[in-house]
Amino acid sequence: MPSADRSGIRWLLAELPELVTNGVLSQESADALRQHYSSQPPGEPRRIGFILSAILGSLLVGAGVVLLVAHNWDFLSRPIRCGIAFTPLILSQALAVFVLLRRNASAAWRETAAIFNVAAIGTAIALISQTYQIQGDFARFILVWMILALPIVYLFQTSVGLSAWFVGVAVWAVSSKHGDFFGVSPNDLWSWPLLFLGLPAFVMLLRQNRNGYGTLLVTTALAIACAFSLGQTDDIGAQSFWRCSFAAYWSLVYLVGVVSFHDWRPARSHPFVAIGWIGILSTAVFLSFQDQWRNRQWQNAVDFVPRHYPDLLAFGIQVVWIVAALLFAGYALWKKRESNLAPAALTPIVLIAWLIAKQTGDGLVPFLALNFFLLALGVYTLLRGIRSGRVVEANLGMVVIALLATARFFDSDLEFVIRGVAFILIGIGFLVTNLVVFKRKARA
Amino acid sequence: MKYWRLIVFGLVAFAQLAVPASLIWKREQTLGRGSVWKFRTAPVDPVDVFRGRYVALRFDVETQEISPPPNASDSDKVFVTLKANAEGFAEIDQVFATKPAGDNFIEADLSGKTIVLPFDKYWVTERDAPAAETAYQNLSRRGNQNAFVTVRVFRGDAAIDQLYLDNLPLREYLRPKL
Repeated sequence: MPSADRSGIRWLLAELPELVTNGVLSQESADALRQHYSSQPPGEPRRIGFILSAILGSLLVGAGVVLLVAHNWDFLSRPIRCGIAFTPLILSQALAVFVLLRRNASAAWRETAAIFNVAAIGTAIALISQTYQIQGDFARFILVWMILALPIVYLFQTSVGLSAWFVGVAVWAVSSKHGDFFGVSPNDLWSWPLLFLGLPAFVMLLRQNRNGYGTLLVTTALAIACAFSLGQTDDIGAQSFWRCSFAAYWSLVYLVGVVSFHDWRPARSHPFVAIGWIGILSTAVFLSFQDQWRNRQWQNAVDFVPRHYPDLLAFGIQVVWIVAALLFAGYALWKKRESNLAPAALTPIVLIAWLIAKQTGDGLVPFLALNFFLLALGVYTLLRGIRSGRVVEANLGMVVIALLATARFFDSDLEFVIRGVAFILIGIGFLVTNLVVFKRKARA
Repeated sequence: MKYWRLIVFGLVAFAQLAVPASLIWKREQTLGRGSVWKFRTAPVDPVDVFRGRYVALRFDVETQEISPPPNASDSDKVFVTLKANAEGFAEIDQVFATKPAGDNFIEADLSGKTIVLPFDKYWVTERDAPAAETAYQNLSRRGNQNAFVTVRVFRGDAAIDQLYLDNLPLREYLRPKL
């Protein structure tokens, strides 16, 4: 029982004597239950506390070492300064060997050794560079550091290290414009192969402990890295297509939360569900402005005149994201019909809107499509919430409708009286919805 | 089972040590065997000189117009040979697309009809930083240009040796004021 609710267990154990006196349970069964739940290994929170303090401690020590030495003692000779630069690295390697031999079973030790080592690599390179006035660009420094740290991620199965790898890819992607990609600029597409290098470790982590906090950290880091890489890719590929690729991105974030982590915690949904909602709503509201489909950025976007092959490749990557979002949505429809999958409809709707807008050169169809989508999403979610008696979901539906109304008031010339009346109506809607849902709950 | 991890880690650890060690090795080669060139610093925008604990350097040669090698496009890597002018400061002699013969060339980035040198920072200590900044600003203004760096050049690598203000190395220039 990896994610057993500890307060639930405590409650159950406290209930046992009463259940026995009332004759619901026999004394034997009660003892058996008590035996079973008391012999549970110490729950996740305790272990997390230990790992967290180990991680925090090693980060602080690492940062302290960096600060001390970055003070740049220029009264020391070059050989001494080099010695100082190597010291943390060698110490961290010694610690790593000790952990591999003696403490390999402990996640806290592994995380600590890995963080210390990864920090020491960066420190050593940075200090040598400073001592010898070596210049060199930031992106290359990050890349060398990351490549040297990657084996550590695999050897020590560290979730913080793996997160650092993904974040490092994002940092590199942002800082490395105008390099080479197999001889043709730009090189930002390299961030995809780099992300793939971390994937096997991610899969291993998912297999071991899918619902752990370490996995959540890594998944978040991966999502952030994908967002940055996708942003850079959009710039190289079909430029106006970012609307579709980011619709797909947010749909995937949402679907991963709803489908892949559906058993995250009892009665709580995965953080990606909330993040996905926010992303999907912001994208949809942003694109529901007609101006987004006819402004200068839309008109000047370079779409179908690929100059080099990286442009085509980048477009291919954009398409892969769309296809992945559509396939995942199809799988979700087939397997998880009971969850609210309507937000993921953003991908096909933006895709169709984009195709039509490209063909006709007119922003009206996308405008109508996205407004209809938001309205339908709001109403559907609201009804779902009312039917199932879930207050949060019903209110979410109202929020969607309110967002849509607010957005339309910004770009329409409606009179203030009409706007006022509409807001009053939506407010009444909120009140009535909550009343209906709570009444139903009370009756049930 | 344990041992393959140790072996792999041994290789990784070696690589981790080798990267900074190779940086040192390359620099020691350049500092030991390279020839010395003096680069006069260019007038600077005083607001933008100092970032963190380094002096941002600009050089006269970076404004010198050159004839780029054929087929070279912007921000390509080029190889630059140097010559000394009448005052003893470095000037660009020729620009090549491939490595020229000899030891006396540096790798630089092409930027239109000029080049960007591969060094633009001079690290200073936390303590010296503010004084160094003021001094460099005063001595790199138009009409009062008396700052240069010595650079050792060896087979493409260029290692900054010293920043000179008023013909004194930075440390000595600052000493009476510290």
